[in-house]
Amino acid sequence: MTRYVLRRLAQMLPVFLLASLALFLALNLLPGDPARRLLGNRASPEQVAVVRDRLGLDEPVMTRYASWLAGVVRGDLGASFGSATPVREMVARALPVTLLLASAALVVALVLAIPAALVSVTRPGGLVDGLLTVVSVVSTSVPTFVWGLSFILVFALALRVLPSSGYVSPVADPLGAARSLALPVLAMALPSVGVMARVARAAMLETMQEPAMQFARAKGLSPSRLLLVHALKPASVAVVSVAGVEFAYLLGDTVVVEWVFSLPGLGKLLIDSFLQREYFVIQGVAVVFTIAVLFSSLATDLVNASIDPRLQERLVGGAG
Amino acid sequence: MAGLAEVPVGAAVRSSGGALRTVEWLAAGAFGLIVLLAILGPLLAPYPPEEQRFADGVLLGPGSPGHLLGTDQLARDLLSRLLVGTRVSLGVALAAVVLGLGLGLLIGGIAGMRGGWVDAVLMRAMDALLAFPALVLALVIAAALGPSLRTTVLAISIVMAPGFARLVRSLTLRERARDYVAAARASGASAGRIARVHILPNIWAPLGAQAALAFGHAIPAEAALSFLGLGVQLPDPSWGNMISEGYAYLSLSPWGVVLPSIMIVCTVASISILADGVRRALEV
Repeated sequence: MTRYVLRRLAQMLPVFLLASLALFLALNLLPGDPARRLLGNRASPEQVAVVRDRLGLDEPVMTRYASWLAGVVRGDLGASFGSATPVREMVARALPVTLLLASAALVVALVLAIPAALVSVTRPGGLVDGLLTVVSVVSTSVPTFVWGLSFILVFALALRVLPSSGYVSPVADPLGAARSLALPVLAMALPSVGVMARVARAAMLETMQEPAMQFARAKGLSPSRLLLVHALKPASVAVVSVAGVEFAYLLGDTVVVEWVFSLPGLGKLLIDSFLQREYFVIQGVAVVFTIAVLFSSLATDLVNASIDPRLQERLVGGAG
Repeated sequence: MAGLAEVPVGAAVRSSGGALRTVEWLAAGAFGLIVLLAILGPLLAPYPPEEQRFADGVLLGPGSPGHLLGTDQLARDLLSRLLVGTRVSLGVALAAVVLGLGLGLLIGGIAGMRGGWVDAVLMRAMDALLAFPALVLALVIAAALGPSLRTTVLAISIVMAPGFARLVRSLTLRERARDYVAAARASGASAGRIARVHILPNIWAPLGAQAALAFGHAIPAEAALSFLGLGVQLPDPSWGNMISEGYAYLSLSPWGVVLPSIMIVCTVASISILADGVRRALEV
């Protein structure tokens, strides 16, 4: 397993380097002077020169990238231009909110999707199966932020049962946190439910066709035991894979959901930084997002490799 | 932006091949109607989309005299804005898919035809783009280039390019191994000619299905970016920036949010159902 983890980390490294380079170049090779962009058009040439010097903008761009990357590796993400607050501090405050949102949405989506898939698999083409297809299409056709706005309209403005904005820490007040996160988490989870239920259903149907299943059926195993004990585990590899992909989508969705519900996470920090033209904060937050995506993909592969050890051999054998 | 592209609706029990079903024909009809509205929208709009008619009233509901779908907070006719916005939103999505497909064809085609280190470098670059959550990548591009309609198209197309590039690469590799390509190579055709004349016509069907699904993703992507103020800029109406404007007045009138949302959902659902049906019918 250690060899497998090292191999996966080695694969992640060039991807991370390329992603960080693309990010840095996108935000640093813009037309115009970055110092003037930060200071605005009214700044004098002397003020611009001071800022260029302070930020090291006269250095070659690859030197600046190398020094920024070295900082990222040390955990130094730079500082806000306006307030001089270290980006690391901002990220440390915002990251738990975002991770909590995305993880809770993933768990809710799984809790809704797996039973739906199990029920629909028992009678493919039946009423529940047809209903699942309809629910899948509807849930995936409504964008996350439209779910969010609809929930605000119904539950916060019309029924007044849940808050439309604000964040309560689960450490300080678990019940308050559940109330404040209920709508955003559900808005994020619903589009994923359709996707995951369809994958789980397809994987279980495929597993049920395998000779081992036919043998088990011939031995007289009950359909529920066959499904819950024998089909669920092989099918879970596909479910874990799609859950990993969905987690990356959910991380992206936090940007718009945190904005809609005024939650102080990484996504809202990103938009606020965009509005205040805080390019160093955007850079720092975006790189944290890529690290989160890469590690969620690693976690997905590790869970899958522990469920099905053949996957490890395939990768260590060089196929990955 | 869930990963709809990877999973055909009800894939496992449906038989492949055959004609479209009733629900898929209905979806085709709905989508055709939306496209027609996008084309004819400005002609059908009762008022110019920016015209403020305060004498008629602000935040009117649907069915108000002279305003079939009501007015917004600036007394602009919601039907007119919705019709013009349909053209803008569909136009942005179409342009983004065409550009994303073009980038994917170029990158995936070169990777598939050249192989070796070129393939490895290009595919790692695509992996690097996939390491950004879609909205984060689009936001970085908007931050870099400044929010505008053109940036929105570019941002969405770059987000889509890796998916297209991977598909084109795998299809190119599959076709390269076929006898007709070996025959073309033996007759002295260059790699570029083989790609254009021989391989491209044989990979259009799966690419078309993928493009249809990508269109279904581009619609909410544009809406999300414009909603956040990073996409299509006012006064040009798009479904996303209409929702953004309506959001500020949600407690007074929901229609500014509800009407464009209904258009987004109908468009995405009809494309999703239709694309799935076409894919099944073509057995791709």
